[in-house]
Amino acid sequence: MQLLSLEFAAFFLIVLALAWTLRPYSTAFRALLLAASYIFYAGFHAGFALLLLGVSLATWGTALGLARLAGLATETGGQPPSRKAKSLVAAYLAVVLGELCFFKYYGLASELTGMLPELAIVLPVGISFFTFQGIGYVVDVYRRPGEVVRSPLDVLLFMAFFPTVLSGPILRARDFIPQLSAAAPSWTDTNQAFWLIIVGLFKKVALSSYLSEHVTRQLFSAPDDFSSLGALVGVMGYSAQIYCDFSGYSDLAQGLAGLMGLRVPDNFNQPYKARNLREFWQGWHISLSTWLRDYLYIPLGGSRCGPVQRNLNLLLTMGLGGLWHGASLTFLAWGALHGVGLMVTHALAGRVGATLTGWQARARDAAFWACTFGFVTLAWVFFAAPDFATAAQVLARIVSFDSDGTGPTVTLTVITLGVIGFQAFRLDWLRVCPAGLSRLPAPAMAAALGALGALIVRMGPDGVLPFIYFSF
Amino acid sequence: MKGGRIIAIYAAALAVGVLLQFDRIEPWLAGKFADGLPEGLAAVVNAGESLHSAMGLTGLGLALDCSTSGMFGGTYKKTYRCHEAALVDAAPPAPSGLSLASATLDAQADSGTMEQQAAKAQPKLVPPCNVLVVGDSLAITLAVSLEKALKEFDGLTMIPKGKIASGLQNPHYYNWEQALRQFMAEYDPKLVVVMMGANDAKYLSLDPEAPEPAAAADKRRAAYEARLAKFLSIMDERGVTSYWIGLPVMGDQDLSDKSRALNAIVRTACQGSSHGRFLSTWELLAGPQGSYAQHIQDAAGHRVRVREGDKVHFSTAGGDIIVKAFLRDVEELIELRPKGAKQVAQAAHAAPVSPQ
Repeated sequence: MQLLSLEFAAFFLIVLALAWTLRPYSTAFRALLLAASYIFYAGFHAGFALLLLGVSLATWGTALGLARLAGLATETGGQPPSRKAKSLVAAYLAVVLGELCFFKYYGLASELTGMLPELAIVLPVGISFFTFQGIGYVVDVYRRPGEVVRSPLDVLLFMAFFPTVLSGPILRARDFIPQLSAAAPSWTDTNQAFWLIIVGLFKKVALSSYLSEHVTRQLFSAPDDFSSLGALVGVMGYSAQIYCDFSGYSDLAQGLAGLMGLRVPDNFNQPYKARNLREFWQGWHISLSTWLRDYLYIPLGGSRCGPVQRNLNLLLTMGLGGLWHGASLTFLAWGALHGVGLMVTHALAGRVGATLTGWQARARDAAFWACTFGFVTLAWVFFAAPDFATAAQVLARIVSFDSDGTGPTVTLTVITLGVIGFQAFRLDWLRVCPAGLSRLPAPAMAAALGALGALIVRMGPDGVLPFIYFSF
Repeated sequence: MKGGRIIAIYAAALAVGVLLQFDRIEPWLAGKFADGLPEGLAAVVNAGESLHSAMGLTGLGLALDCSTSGMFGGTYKKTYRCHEAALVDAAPPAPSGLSLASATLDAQADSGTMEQQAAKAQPKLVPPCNVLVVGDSLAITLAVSLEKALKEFDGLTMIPKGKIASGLQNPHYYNWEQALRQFMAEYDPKLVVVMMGANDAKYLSLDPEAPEPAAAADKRRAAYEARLAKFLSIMDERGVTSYWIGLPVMGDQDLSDKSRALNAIVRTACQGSSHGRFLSTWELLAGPQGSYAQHIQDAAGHRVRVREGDKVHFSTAGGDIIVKAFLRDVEELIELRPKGAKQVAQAAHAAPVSPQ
């Protein structure tokens, strides 16, 4: 059952009706959401659901074990986390990271070494997301045993929650689980939730699909067919496409959860308005960047150990973050590029044009924005290309200043510049329309939403493409 | 009742959306019920269609699609619907000699990397000409490798027109017969490369113990064969060679068995058509024992990944292997003139007349 399908729309109607009916009965409400989540996830492959269940139970059991060890330590004099606790966390990490590596990186390791036996492994959808979610929770309990959740129902639901299980946002247990038993819904702005679904549909169905089918797929399979300008606009089109694809999914997840009264964190905040890479990562895939910060960068020492160590930490964190996206050295290169970019950003922070004011400050900001967007866009080439040779071909095509080949179409240029321009000029269209919606009576609102949804589907392809981020 | 209001708005919005998009419901349902809709559901669908049509939404949807069709390329939209009448009118009558013999599924196992058929008497094609590539997502992947390869030759322009998740079994989703007529009229290709079937194979029923009535499976297969014959006849009518690239071995045993059976049907159909050829890829991407393999040794002895993680699609390296086999075979039909060779030839030709 794809998220963008009539089956899912009907499935969600049933879940929504039952969820609000059972909302006053906390256990039944949670059991319903858990059942719905597993029905949804098992629809992709029953074996995937068993894997998710196994990882979830391991997460629940490890956290419980850590809390018990902490309790014993308190009884015997309040010792810091014991060696046993460390061993337990290490064993858990070995299991879940081993599982992630096996499914995700076995093929790459097999190709690079040429020594591993042949295995045809199917990557379970969303494995990187739920694995990171589980690790985050266990590390939180290791650090603060009081955050343990004893109910297996809650932990299983936290790991499998159907709006987020495929592509995030990566949830934090301390934010999500308390909502499940709260008397009042955490998300009360229904208009915003409906609007998020419409915006998510528009980004994914109308914009991302168009860009994918009309430029980026061809560009990254046959770059030589494009003129320099065509390749440049195509690469910018990919920047717009991946934003629409992934943030569109996040909007849908937020909207669906919101209709059930549950709050899912923001995952994007106009990343292409950033004037440096730090700002970019504060607005791009926020749940992953904060996860990497809290569970990798800071434990490595963060910026506390001097500039050399900080730079190494940045490089390692971003490199691993890149590899998290896919089993290919091109993803590693993409992450490493961002690591180096962040190192430069840190080194230059406050040193370039800091004293400028007025139009000079605006010009400086515009130049910073252009540099940041240019860097991010060129780095996407390594993210999108199937291999280094293709990435090099795309980049070579851009700088060849050759007018022969496919050029940018008007529609493509308008969509690309529109997506980027909305952010660069900080136009927050997401916040504008819900106010208009809220003024409508319920029947008119339903008709407007239905008509908008139908129009968006009509603008999309006959047959919808999968989300880019599903494969991560 | 906040919850009640949310449910009511969602349900009503969904109903409005479904009604406005009812022309897309039928293709969707056709994909779910290969043997036709159950009676009760069919009645509901008919009622919905009547309402949709009575409200003028069918014409409005088509008008909207057609008025914006210039913005959408390739197979993104079913633009053939905008030219349906013209395409049917323009279609030449079907040739009398074309009949499709029923395939014997178990008698003809795919064997050998290349299967050359008896050469059909056709003059060798001379470029420049367009090469149309049609089919499902396998054709889309194949087109990447084919485009690279064809660029090495002079005068061959590839027109890639693959449609994800399509096939001949569900024309409601994408009507390949109509689409092919449109592409033939639009691009006038001299060679059509077809690769599709992974979405059709799953409709085949090979298990004699299967709970579904044998008649239903036979009917479905007969419908597929009829559509296949019609599809091939479109190219035969115009004297255009169709080159069907067979399905490779699949990772899932059931799908693999069905793909082999589908290959047999298609091969028989190609043999029965006047301009159809079939290239078996079954063992091209298989392991040493002929079974599914994610990696294989290439000609240079290097281990290369030839399949994607879903065990259905092939990688670009896998596509390159198929294309190499295709080029070896297609040389019989088309004059392949390497670009370098042409430049050398031109230079040699130009030398005597150029002033020294």
